[in-house]
Amino acid sequence: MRRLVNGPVVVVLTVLSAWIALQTRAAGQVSARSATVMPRTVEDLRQWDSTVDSMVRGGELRLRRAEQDTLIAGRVHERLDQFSHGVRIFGGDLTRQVDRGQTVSIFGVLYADLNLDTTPGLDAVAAQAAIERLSGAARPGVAPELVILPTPSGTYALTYTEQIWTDTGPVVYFVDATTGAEVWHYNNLQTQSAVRSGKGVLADDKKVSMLATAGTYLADDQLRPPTLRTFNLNGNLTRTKQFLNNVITLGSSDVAASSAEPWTDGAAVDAQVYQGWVYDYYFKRFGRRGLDNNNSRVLGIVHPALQSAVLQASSSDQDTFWLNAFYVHPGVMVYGEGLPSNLTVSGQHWTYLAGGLDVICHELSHGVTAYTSNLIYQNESGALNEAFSDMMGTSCEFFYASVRGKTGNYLIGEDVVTPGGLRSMADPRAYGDPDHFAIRYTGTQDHGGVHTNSGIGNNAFYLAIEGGRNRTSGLAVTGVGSANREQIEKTFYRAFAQLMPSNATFAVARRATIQAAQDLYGAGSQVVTAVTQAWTAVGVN
Amino acid sequence: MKRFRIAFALVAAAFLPSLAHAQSPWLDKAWVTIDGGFQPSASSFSAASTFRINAEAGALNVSYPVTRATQLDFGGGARVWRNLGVGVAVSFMTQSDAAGISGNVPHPFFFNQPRSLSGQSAALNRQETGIHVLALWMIPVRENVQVGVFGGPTYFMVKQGIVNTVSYSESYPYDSVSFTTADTADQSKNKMGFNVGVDGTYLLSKSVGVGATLRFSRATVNFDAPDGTAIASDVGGVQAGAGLRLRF
Ligand SMILES: [Zn+2]
Repeated sequence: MRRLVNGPVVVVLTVLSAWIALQTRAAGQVSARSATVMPRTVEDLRQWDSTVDSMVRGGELRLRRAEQDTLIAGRVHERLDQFSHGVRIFGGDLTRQVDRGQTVSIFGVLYADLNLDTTPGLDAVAAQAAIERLSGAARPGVAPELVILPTPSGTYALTYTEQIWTDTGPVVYFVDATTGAEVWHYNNLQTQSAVRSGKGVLADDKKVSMLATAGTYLADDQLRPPTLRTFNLNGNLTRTKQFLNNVITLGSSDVAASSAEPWTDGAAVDAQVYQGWVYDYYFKRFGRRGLDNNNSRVLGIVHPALQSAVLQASSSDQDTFWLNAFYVHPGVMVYGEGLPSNLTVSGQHWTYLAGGLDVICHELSHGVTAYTSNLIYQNESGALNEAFSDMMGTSCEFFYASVRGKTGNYLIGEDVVTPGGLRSMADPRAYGDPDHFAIRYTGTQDHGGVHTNSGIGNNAFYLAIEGGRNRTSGLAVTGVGSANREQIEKTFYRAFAQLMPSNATFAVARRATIQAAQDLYGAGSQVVTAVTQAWTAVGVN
Repeated sequence: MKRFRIAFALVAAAFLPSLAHAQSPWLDKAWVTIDGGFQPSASSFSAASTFRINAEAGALNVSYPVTRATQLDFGGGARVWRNLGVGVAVSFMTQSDAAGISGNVPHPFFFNQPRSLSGQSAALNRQETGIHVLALWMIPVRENVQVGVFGGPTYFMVKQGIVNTVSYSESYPYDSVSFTTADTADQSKNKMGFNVGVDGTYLLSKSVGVGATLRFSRATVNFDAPDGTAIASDVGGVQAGAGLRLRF
């Protein structure tokens, strides 16, 4: 619930404040006794000052940081951590304000009776493995810290601790240093939802659903049901590949972030916004909840490579990370970096691919396919897989025409690959793609021409909506009309996501879409007629 | 102010002819009126504000109806010179009406796609107390009929429930919002205004009669909006009453 004031607004949202949950208690704990350090008199202060000094000399307190006072000149604020036998005590620390050598204040919490054996039974590698097992997430190359944990039940436990990014956010785990069992964990997400303005790749204004953290905003949607997050790999192709190869996981520091408003990283803005819009399109049009219909995660990656480094890259890397966007199951989208404005391919400029709504909807629809028909990415089924993504991609564009102030069209990628885009559903042959089964590509390149023969299904979809004649056969189709495009979108969605098997052929697609039209609109409906005529026109019988 | 001029003109038009002919002396020393009455005119006032949420400006309007209400009115005074008297009358009016709430709440995902919000607060109490100090010119039209015209300053004390916060609920996909509650708080404001009017009395005996009063009083009070701005509300208005008249 939100609450607004008659005047300035007060938004009352659930703040995901840090919560701490005691999970289990490990063996071998001893009682914890803490003292709050808060001297009130000058004598107390002097005494604590000398106690602190002696603890520093004895190694029981160690200076973590000393910061100059930015408001009162000459003052320094020290932060000291408490240690026992060289092991830090979690939560045992104090601050000391010093004015030119003279202590002004001390505040802290120190722990007493620390007679815990600080020799761990596990080494850091074993502890790391235990934390990864508990969290279900990996963070290779990071060593957990050995700490003494005063537990809420008043005991000490020797633990290893580490913050690890999980599906619910950054969780700090504490595992027993001998058994590896969980002692504690808490979610360190100190955040709340925020809607910020941003400028997309095409400099258009958008609202971005983000996660507010201290002073900055992360591309992590808090308003929609699933995890919708955009990572910024800052052009580090090595890390991009490591992530895709499961060598590394991405953490909170990899989430695309902005503190300025409007946010001007167009690729990150568009990726985050369009991923949300695509989720909404599927929900509003088909009642579908995300890729798996169960709100599975959506993770987008922008800046997988450095735009300016394209000429140094191998041609396969160029094709993958600059001139492409792709889906990696489950739920990962990589949006190519495009080309610097002075470079073109066949006379076309390529900007950040995240700037294309149809591109993002196309990629996410591969996710829907992967969770549903799982059309095999080869030959006819592969062409149908691609065609479905194009159909949904272009449908998204039409769906959001009014909020974008831009009418939809049947070109694919025309916003980011200019002029003209990559494919045409209305006239595939204009882009060298077949629009009729009789002229389909039968070679082996591109998985048997999946991006080529998709033109056949694409043109059937187009004709079923808009009507007209297939360029190759000359056969006429009476479409349902653009005002009724929803009927064809639903028909094809139903067929592709629910009726078709993984090894479907064009002939199966024809039968399945007719079946879907009959299911939804009746056997004698205009939709059935349109779909039937459309497949006939493209030579699929 | 326009309504006041009209009302005053009507009063003047109705009684000036009587004034011209009525030169009989007024012999009473003092008078008392006890009236029940009502404020026949309905009006309203509103508070418009803007706010910022979801990276866009939204708007909220709260409309407070001031409907017809009954009132209690009593007063008295004394003759000070010839047909001139001075007195004081006190009127109490209380009513209870819900405020109408309407607004536009920006969508979290899109610019220029506001969700409309509408609802009603709980019934808000409004109490107006007017202390009308008046100079009265009494015209004995006949032996048992007196007409007095009066005017003077009025001290208004107004207590009104004001909407402080409006709550709404929303859920994915956030294409609409539902009004849930409005938090309100009473505010009390005092303001000096004026009154003019006419009183007619029909004496049943030397000291007891019945009569009717038509009064127009007016002031504008400013309630405090939560954003620090003022919410202007007219108080008073046309008040009609009838009741007991005592003469001493
Ligand atoms: Zn594709």
